Formats: sequence, structure tokens, C-alpha cells
Amino acid sequence: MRIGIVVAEFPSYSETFFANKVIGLCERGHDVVVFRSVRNTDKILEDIYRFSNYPNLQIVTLDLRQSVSGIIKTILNYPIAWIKSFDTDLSVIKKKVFDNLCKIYFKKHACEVYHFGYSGLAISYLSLFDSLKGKTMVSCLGTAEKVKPVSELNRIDKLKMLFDKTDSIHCVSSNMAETIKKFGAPVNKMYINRPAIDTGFFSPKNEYKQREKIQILSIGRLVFQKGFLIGILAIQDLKKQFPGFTWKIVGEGPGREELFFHIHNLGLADHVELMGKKTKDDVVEIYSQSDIFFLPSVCEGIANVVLEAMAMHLPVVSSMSGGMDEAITHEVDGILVENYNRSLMTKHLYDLCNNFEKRKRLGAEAKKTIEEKFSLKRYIDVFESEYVKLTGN
Amino acid sequence: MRIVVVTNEFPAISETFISNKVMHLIRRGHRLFVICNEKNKALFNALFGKEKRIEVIVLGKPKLFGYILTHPYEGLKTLITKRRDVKKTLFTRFCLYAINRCSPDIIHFEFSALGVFFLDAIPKLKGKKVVSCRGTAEKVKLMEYEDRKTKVAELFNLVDAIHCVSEDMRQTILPYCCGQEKKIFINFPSIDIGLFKRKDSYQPHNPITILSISRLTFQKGYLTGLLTVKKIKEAGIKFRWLIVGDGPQYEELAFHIHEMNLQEEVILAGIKSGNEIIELYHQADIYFLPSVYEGIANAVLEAMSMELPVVCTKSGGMDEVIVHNEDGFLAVVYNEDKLACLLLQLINNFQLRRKMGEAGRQKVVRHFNINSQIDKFEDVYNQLIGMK
Repeated sequence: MRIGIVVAEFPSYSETFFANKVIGLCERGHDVVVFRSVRNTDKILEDIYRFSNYPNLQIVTLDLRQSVSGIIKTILNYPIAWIKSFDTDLSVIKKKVFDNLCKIYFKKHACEVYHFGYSGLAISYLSLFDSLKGKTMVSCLGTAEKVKPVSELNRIDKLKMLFDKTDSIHCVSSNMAETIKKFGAPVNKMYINRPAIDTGFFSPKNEYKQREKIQILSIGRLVFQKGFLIGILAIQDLKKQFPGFTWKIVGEGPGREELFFHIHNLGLADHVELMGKKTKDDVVEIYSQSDIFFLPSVCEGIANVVLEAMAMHLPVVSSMSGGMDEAITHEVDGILVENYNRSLMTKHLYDLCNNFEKRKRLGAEAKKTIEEKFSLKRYIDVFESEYVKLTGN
Repeated sequence: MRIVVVTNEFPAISETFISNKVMHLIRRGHRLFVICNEKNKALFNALFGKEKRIEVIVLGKPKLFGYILTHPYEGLKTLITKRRDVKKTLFTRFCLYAINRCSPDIIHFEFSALGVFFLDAIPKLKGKKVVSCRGTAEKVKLMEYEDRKTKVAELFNLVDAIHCVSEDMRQTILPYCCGQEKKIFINFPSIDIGLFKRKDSYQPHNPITILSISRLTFQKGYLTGLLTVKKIKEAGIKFRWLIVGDGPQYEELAFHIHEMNLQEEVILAGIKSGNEIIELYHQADIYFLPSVYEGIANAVLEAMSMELPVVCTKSGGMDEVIVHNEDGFLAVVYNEDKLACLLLQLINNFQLRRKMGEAGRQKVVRHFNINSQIDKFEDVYNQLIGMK
């Protein structure tokens, strides 16, 4: 089968699931075309994934903000697309050129299925849907469905149009399915495929041990959805009761300045460390040095980092945001806390800091849960069968 | 006196203190030049009309090109001698030209960040230089960026006077002053008590209305604010909280409001004009400032002048304005339990609200009145140019 995956940045540090999926599909012999709108030339990422090893993978860049020579090339190659885009308004020209070039690229690399990685991204391609020969699928992962409809006028209407046009809708959790049903997503187009992780890669090398100083870990982009301010407030109270810990936050993002300020303003600079972004290998190392994983998010699909932490035998304290309760069973393989409830977060963190046996027990159960329910094999299986269903192959 | 005021946008809807200052200095007979990067023409005409003693100079591309055309020699010289930083050098020379052309006695940078931006030009500026320290630039940026620290220290070294909006601000910048402490003077923000004056007596509203006015940025602590009012809702109180203003946190706040199920109670009202804001003060029962840091919040001074009781965090210099339990309530920053407790105290007691509102008005009339602020600036300027 020839499958088109449409994403924004590719590859990226924070969205490893796209890369995992692409590689998984390639390994099963499918032809995969990745359409990306942002080229990432990071050497480290290229070395990690080694996409050149997959002859059945093609990466097409729809980035128009590239070099002048790149633009001239498109003019020479596709003069008609440019002529068709003529307008008196520069911003209209830009949009038209983008649309017309996309049409050409999509046609040139025709696929049986086009899978749009985000509904927000799919909305920006909505005008092209009719010209696509293959079937279309859209993923609903989080922010685009949880935040934008609240903050952006017309977003709900746009989502309705999208759900109407697309042939299939992938939901990251049952919680997401419930959310988009409210926006008129037809139930017969929807299916749920919860995220998954590479359990071979995220596997603890050593036994879970007691350490002198407790290390709490969080990983996520520094954006408000991750609830780091709530986390900082919970940690501030924890420090009053249990000073022997550090909290490491791995990730980068627009909220860095804000978090840095809060941490210093609350006198937590000795206890909280902003680590910046890390590679996959570094992250595994950091997991294995940690005792507790903490997710204070206010908005999630299902957090992949929690699945990774669970696979790494870590007890998790997670907010009940999005579909987190579909990954964690409270007090069995992790701890769930009501959204925004920082005092309850403090209570559970304190409890775990003081109870090695419980940490170990939760971590062991967590690892089992991931192996049973969140393996990459299941993830690719579900996508594969949905693609087959759509195309009738 | 010929005074150059350097600011960002002018006049700016969220920085009325600068246009107020400019206007009052004009009224006292000074000649004002405002150097800015953007001019709000509609607001300017509304505020200053045909006033002749003010000139607004926008440092933008059109002016820069004009400068290069009329000064081809400067352009050529820069091109030959400063190959590396042509753009920067040329811009600095252009700024120098634009400011010095006003033959100023005083040049006042209204934000230290602007002072840092013009750092290269400052030594060659004619006239005495003053810089204001008001908030973000000193409280956040200084904490975070090492090179900013050296630049600010250099700036303090180059200017003739440093204006702080509060004692707290003075303490904040002291570590970067390195022997320049004597240049510091404190001049509290102030407001026009004639403009911010109730038309009628303070009366209760139904439901009780809490008001906040500011840009929607993290400094303003709205997440703490939302956690606070969530507690008030849980206590079974009917109320509404009006948040006036816009900013980068709009999306985040809209999400939190939805997620905490506070859509009925909390209203993001967007940007409002000066007159609308005065009307909103009349419709409110309590003013609420959940900020995580402040210089001194002008909106609190306005609210107090409008006889509203105020609940605010002990951020920045707020405790230099408010005496807890007398003319307002203060709570520790980030502490939603305490804030909720204080708000409830006011919500449940009309007499207390009225009493506190009256005390607040008295405080502002006595200490935060625009005339005394302008007196102080005039004094400092006079001393600098040796008139006194």
C-alpha cells in the first residue's frame, strides 16, 4: 500500500510517534511518503532515525519559506502553478502558490491514503481535500481539539467541515472521541488507537533501587498545556515537608522564561532544574536515574512520556487530564490526581517519596501495563487495518 | 525645558502613565519630544489634539531612509569603516541624529530595556539622561540573561539619574548599580484623581462583581486568580469576575476557564477604552490583582481612587501602596487559599468594602496624585540641568 503521512515538522524531538509510525509501516513493506511543511535539518535526529535506510520511504517538503534558489526552482519547474496564483494581494498569492504547489506534490506522489497528523494541520489543507485522489484520514491528538475550539472563533465550524470531508478519524483516546463527538464528528468514521512506545528501547537496564535523594522527573514542551506552574506550586509545598529531592524538567518551549521566573520567585532554584531538550538516548538515561515521574498537565491527549516512564519502571503521578485515566489505573500502576489539584499532587508525591516499596510496586505494574497494552506492534496493527478498511485492499 | 521621552508605542492604551506624564509636563510649559517606534494616531489626536508643544518622532524605516538620503556622507562612512555592523551603526547614528536634533535638556528612557537598546548612542547624546525601572525588564530579564546584567550595569553607569517606581524596585536593581546608588530616586506612579472619581456613591451589585484590568501575561497571575475564584464558587457564592485586557495568554486563560467550568462566572472582556473602563469601575464591587510580580500596578491606584476595595498579592511594591486591613488586603503571592479567604471576607461584608474603598481613595489622593509625581520629576530634571 502507498501511504501518505502529512505532518508539520519532521522529524522532531517532541513528536517521536510520527517517526515511529513511519518506520513501523516501512518495515512492514508499505511505501510511505511523508509530506512535511517544515524541514528539520538537525543532524542528531537524522543520525537517530537513519531514514535513508528505508528505500520505500520518501520525504517531500512543502516548505515555501526555504531559500530564494528553492523558490526560483519551483518557478522554473512549475510555472503554471505560479501563473495561476496571480493576485494583487501578496498574502493571497502566497496562499495560492502554496495550495497549487501542494496540489502538484500530492498528485506527483499519489497515495492511496493521506493521513493528516493533526486536525489543525488538516484544516489548513482543507481546500485541497477535493483534489486528492486517495482516501483521507485525520488524527485528533490534543490541543487542536481541546484548546482551539475554546479560544478561537469558527474553529468548531472548521472542525465540523473537516469531519464531514474526511473519510476516517483517528482518536488518541476515548476521551478524545467524546470531545469531538460534541463537534459533530460522525461515530462511524471514528476509531481509537492509543499511542504506543518502543518497549525494546524504553526498557530499564538496572533494577529499580532506593537512592539517597529522590529524583522527580517531568518531560514535556514548556507550554501551558503541561501545567508546569501547577506542578511548581505542588513542588513548593512538597519542599516544606520533604526537602530531600530534585525535580528535573526536560523540554524546551515558549514558556521557559515564565517557568524560570516562577522557580526563582518561589525560591526553588536549588530543587528544580530546567534541562532543555534532550535526545532519545539521553532521555533513557535520565529515566533510569529517576525515582518518580510527574505529569501535572492540564490538557493532554494521552501523554507519550508517561507511557515511556511506565515502561522504564517508574511510578507516575499524573493529573487526570485527557485520556490519562485510560493509561493509568489509580493506585494500581500509577497515581491519578484531579486536574489542577495541586495539594493532592503534593500529598501523593510526598507519599511516594517516603515509600520505596510502593514506588517499586507501582513501577513494576506500570511496566506490565505498557507491555500488555501499549506496544508499538499493536499501534501499527491498528493503523494498518484501518488503512486496509479504507482502501478496500 | 526641552524634554525627550523615549518609549515604545505612543500613546499606548496600556501605558497611560506615559501619556499622562507627557501631557502634564506640557501643561507646565515644557517642550516635549516623544521618540517611539509606533504612533497611535487616533489616540494621539484624541489626547493631544492640536497641541503645538509636542512632537512625536517615529524611529521607523521611512525616517531612516530620509536620514540616509539627507546624510549620504554618514551612510558612506559607515559602510566603509564599519563593514560588520553597518545596520546597527547606521541605526545608532540615525537615533543620535534624531534625538540630538531636538537639542534636549533631558532625555528620559521610560523603560530600562529601551535604555539598553540605545546603549551605543547614549554617550554621545546631548543633555542629561534618565532611565525608568518599572517592571518586567528588571524583574524577569535581569534574572535570566547574563549579558543583560552587564548591559544594565553599563546603562546605569552612563545615565545621570535612575528612576524607580518603588522601594522594592530600588532593592531589585541595587546589585547592578555598582557605586551608582546615588543616582536612584523613587517616584511612585500616580493617577489623575479628578478623572478617576466616582459619579455616585458606592453601592452593592448583584451578582457581586470582581474586576481586574491588565494585559493578559503570566506576570498578572491569572492562573492563581482562577484557582482563587474556583474556591469562591465552591463556597456557593454567586459572583462574576470581569477581566479586561488582551495579550499573549488569552488562549491559555480561555482554556483554563473552560476546563475549570467557570464560563458562567469569568468573562474575558477584551480591550476597553478609557471611558469604558471608568464605567466598569462603577459597575464593580471589588478590584482583584493576583499578580506574581509588579512594579506598582497603576490599575490598583485607579481602582482605589474609584473607592473600590482591593485584594492584591504582595507583589513588587504593592505593599508600599496598601496597608493590609486598612486601605486594602494583601496576600502572599501564589496563595489562592489566602486570596479566596480575603475575597470572601469582602464579599460577605458591604460595610467593610465601603470603608476600605473610602480609605483607599484617601490614600491615593494623599500619596499617588499626578501633580506630586510631576513635581518630583520636574525637581529631578531641574537638579540635573543645574537650575536648582
